[in-house]
Amino acid sequence: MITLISSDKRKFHVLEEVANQSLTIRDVIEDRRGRRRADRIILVTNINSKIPEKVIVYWLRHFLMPEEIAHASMSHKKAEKLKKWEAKFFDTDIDTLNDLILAADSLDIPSLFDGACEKVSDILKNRSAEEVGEISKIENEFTHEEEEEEIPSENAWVWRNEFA
Amino acid sequence: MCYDMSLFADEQERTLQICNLPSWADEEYLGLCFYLFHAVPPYLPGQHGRIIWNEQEGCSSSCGFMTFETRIAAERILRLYNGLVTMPGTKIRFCLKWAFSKSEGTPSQHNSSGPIKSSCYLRRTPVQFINNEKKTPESGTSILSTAAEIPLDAIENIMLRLPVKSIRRFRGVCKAWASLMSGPDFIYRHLENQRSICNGIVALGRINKKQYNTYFFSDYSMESICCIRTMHFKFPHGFTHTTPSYEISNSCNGLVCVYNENFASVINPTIQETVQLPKSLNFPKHANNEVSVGLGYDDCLDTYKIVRMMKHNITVNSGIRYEVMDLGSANCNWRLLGCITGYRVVSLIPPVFVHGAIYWLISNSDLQEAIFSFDVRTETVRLISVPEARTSYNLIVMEECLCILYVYKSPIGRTKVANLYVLEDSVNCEWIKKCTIEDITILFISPILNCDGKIFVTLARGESLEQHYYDTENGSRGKRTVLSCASRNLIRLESIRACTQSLVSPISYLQRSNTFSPIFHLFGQKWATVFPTSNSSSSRSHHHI
Repeated sequence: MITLISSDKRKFHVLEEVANQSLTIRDVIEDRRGRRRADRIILVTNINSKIPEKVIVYWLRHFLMPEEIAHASMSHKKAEKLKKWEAKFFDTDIDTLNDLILAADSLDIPSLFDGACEKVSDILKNRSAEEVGEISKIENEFTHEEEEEEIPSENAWVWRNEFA
Repeated sequence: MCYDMSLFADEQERTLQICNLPSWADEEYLGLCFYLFHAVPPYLPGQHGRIIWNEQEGCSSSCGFMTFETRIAAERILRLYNGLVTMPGTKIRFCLKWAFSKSEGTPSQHNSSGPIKSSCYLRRTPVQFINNEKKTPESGTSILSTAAEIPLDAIENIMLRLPVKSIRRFRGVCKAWASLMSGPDFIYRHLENQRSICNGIVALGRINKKQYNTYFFSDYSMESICCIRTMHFKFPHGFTHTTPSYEISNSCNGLVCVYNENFASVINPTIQETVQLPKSLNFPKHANNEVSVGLGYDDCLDTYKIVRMMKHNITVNSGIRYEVMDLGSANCNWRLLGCITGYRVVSLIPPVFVHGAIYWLISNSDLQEAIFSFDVRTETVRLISVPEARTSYNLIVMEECLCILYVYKSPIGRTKVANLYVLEDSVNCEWIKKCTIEDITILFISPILNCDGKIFVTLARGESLEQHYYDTENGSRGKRTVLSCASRNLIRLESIRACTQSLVSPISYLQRSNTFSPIFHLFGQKWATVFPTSNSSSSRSHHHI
């Protein structure tokens, strides 16, 4: 058992095999093998309790089918199921996705990181630059002239949808 | 939040100093270290733990202060922790001492290098920024409130998944994003991603009424064809119906070369940049030249090579001469390289670029076909024989391998059959027959896209683009209409090529050479010309041959 502690002091007990999906945790555990119980406690300082919950759910779902992933041909149906499940899992607001990215980055969970990034890029795909600036709360530092220079062709392009 | 050393007297005597903290440690970490053992009351940011680090020594010598609930708790921690327990997440043991020794009443120094300078400052961690922001009520629904805190590699990861169109748009969001997205490294990583995600099509056609040559570019993913975006724009030159028709070369990293006998330009249709290449002096001018242009990328020198094959003289099988231009090297000029006698280019079949070599289909006077390969890096050429001594092959790239498709009439019945061969060993010309596609109703003429073992054939049928696909693994097939332009403008499609969407800018490659013109904005596209330098190398080599 490994205990994770979130920034708002909630404790999460996870099986070591499950938590090993995080490369950071695996390294830490590997480092401290054979030590006291206290060393099995890991601080997840930069995330609140909502996120470890999600991360653990994600781990459990993936933990249940490691063999199927190995035999890709056999588990076509199950892979499809997992895909569906992941689509549902990532279907949250952008704030949560953001936190998930941060968590996945610090805990080093590549699949979660990629999945969350994919979803964010999906959300951003069809937005305008202004909308994205608003969403990401980034001030537009471009002066008006610079902006004209930077994206002239964008406006001048003949984007037509007439053949669609 | 400012740091004030003047603590209350009772606070002073229950404060411990923690030395040799890891460089990444912050107040919250400090709080949690001791919270775990219930030594401190539930931690409030910035209230109990404080971190100081010496500016002159960088992060290595940071030390922290922790105020405990009671003096007894502090004593217990000192006894239990000091030199015995390792700090969570590190291999270093705690090094604790009383922050205020009773005699001095000032913070004791944790090392002998000297007193903490006045330049000590409190480190505000990004973690706290996030937490503080979370507490503000206005950052509520669906707002990427912490985008600035998201590591840049996450932003890059997100951006790498976006189509070119969105990336171009988001360059205007902020300068950090703009510089991230215009780096050559980003452009190539994005290209690698796009290659596996989706494909596009470049088509060259004429709008009958206006008598303009137009090329348009459509992008669509393999799964959904409903979201086709088509754009088209006029060539920078005025075209009349007498202008000879244009052809498209193979595509390479999202670039294509549009050419005819006396004109060639490298275009990225996705970002609409055109580089017009100079006229070649190596070829004699005569009508009905058979030209074929191939485009390749030299990953060693990071240059694009445009290889032009042209008939030697007017007789049918007089041989092919080929010349090369490097886009991205200092000198942009056509260099005549050599000649293959007895062959002509099968100009109907466009060349392909795979594994650092461009391949053309050529045929001799007996209509015997062979493959001519040009290694982009070494500029060496080779002839590769084909498996069956027949004609009408098609060149395809599948799973990063050169393949050929041979279509013939089935001996039984009236249908056509195609054999697909894969080049296993390019040195010994070993071909392996991969599969046979039976009952073909359409002619397999380019472009042929490949995706997950499926062969896609896109062809113009009347006023629409149709896409037929055939799965080489399970033999399933189908067709769908990709593009239909029935009512608006009648378009006669002249050639269609598969082309990836990329951010590769041909103009940036041209800017490396000494001979480029200013950039124009014409019909909404960026446009630059290569001026031929007046060196005699090209004409000299012409005489030489």
